[in-house]
Amino acid sequence: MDLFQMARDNAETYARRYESLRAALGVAAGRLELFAVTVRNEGRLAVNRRLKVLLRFLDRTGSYYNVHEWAAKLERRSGRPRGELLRLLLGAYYDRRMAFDRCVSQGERLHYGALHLGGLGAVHFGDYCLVFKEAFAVGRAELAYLWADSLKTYLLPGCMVDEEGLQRDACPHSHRHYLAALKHGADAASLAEERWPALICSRDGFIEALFAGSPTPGDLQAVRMDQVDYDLYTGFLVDAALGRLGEGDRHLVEDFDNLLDLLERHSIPLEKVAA
Amino acid sequence: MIRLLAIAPEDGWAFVRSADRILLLRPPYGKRRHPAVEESVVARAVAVEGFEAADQVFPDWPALFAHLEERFLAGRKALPAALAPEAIERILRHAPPSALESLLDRIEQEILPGRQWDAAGELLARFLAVDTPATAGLRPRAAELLVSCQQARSATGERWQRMTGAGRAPLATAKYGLEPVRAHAERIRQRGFFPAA
Repeated sequence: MDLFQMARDNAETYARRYESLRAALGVAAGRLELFAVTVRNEGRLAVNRRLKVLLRFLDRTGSYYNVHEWAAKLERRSGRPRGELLRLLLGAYYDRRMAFDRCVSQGERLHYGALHLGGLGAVHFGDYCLVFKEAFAVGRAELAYLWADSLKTYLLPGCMVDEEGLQRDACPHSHRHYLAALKHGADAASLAEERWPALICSRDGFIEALFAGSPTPGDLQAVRMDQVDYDLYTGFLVDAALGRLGEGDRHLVEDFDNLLDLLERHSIPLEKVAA
Repeated sequence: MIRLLAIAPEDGWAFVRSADRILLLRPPYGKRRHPAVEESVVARAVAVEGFEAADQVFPDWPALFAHLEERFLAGRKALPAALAPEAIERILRHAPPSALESLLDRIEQEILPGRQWDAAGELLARFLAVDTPATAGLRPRAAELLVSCQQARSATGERWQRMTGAGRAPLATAKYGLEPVRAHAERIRQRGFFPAA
């Protein structure tokens, strides 16, 4: 099934569903509309990455691997069959991942991210939130949004894919604000605006983005990190000056300095966020 | 008993099961909270986010942390203990005001009282070499600390010189011997004060 085409086909349906919700909300409709407009104007595609993964992306333009691409690289390096490597990397989760990727066309090319409105994103998977420029997403044919984590939401027992659910929920980038409003609008209407980013994407949940293609560092609008982590690295400066920095921490701060260097070279802002 | 479920070795991240909870670990292990997560987070971490599936049991936390640190360091070259001056300046250049204030607090409350003049002087010199909006407001304080550091270092040096001179004094040398007097002077130099008799 072509997830991206389904998303495009759902555009009008999303617009209609949003209008129905707006009509049903009555006096809260104004807040819902403000929420939707905010997501349309400020909602970005984002992915969370750990430091070493981010360094590889910034250091070698285009090396933005998913598990299939990573296994292919390892196959070239080691000579071991890709299927065997995939089983090794995915372990007990192999069947679920394969079921989804085989059901969706271009499944082996897919990258996974989330809709982002601020904050630090899905930090359980990476402490650096890479926010893409709007230009990277606009007009990208191979980009779709889903209600939530696809592997959790659209995989039924026995590794069956919920094709009906995918068909219903796939949403194009142009209509992502309607999806956000339908999922979170009722809550957003009663919440202060500064809490909307966490509603859209946090460690507790997210609107999933799936896309194909190879982004480059030039596609990034900003990289975001927790201010607490920055305080930690600054503290390492003192420990290093006193000769008390352990070997592991020494490598952490070296990696972090490499990141700052690469961000400067690519002119990518580093935003420190108080979580 | 702790079971390792998934690992991203090059970053030192891991999901483990301990006492019916799944925890996310990341370095430095002793300096962070380790949040509890749902099983579905581990599934996604492996299936999508580049973690490797694992199934290994450790008797206690030190054994687990030692394993994670070993995997984290595998293939990495040894680094010099000291950070390069440009690395220090780069980290300071991007630092938010709160981090810079904490740094000056530690210099004032920890490094200077510990008489680590070289460490304090180096950090403060690097701080003053950085010119950003965040450092601008803290430059006067950093400059004051650097002056305090230099004055304290000078005072210590003068005391040490006096004791070195005393070491050359013929009467003291004749009474105690040259080496004991020199060793005593060195102890005073390191402590920065004359110990009680």
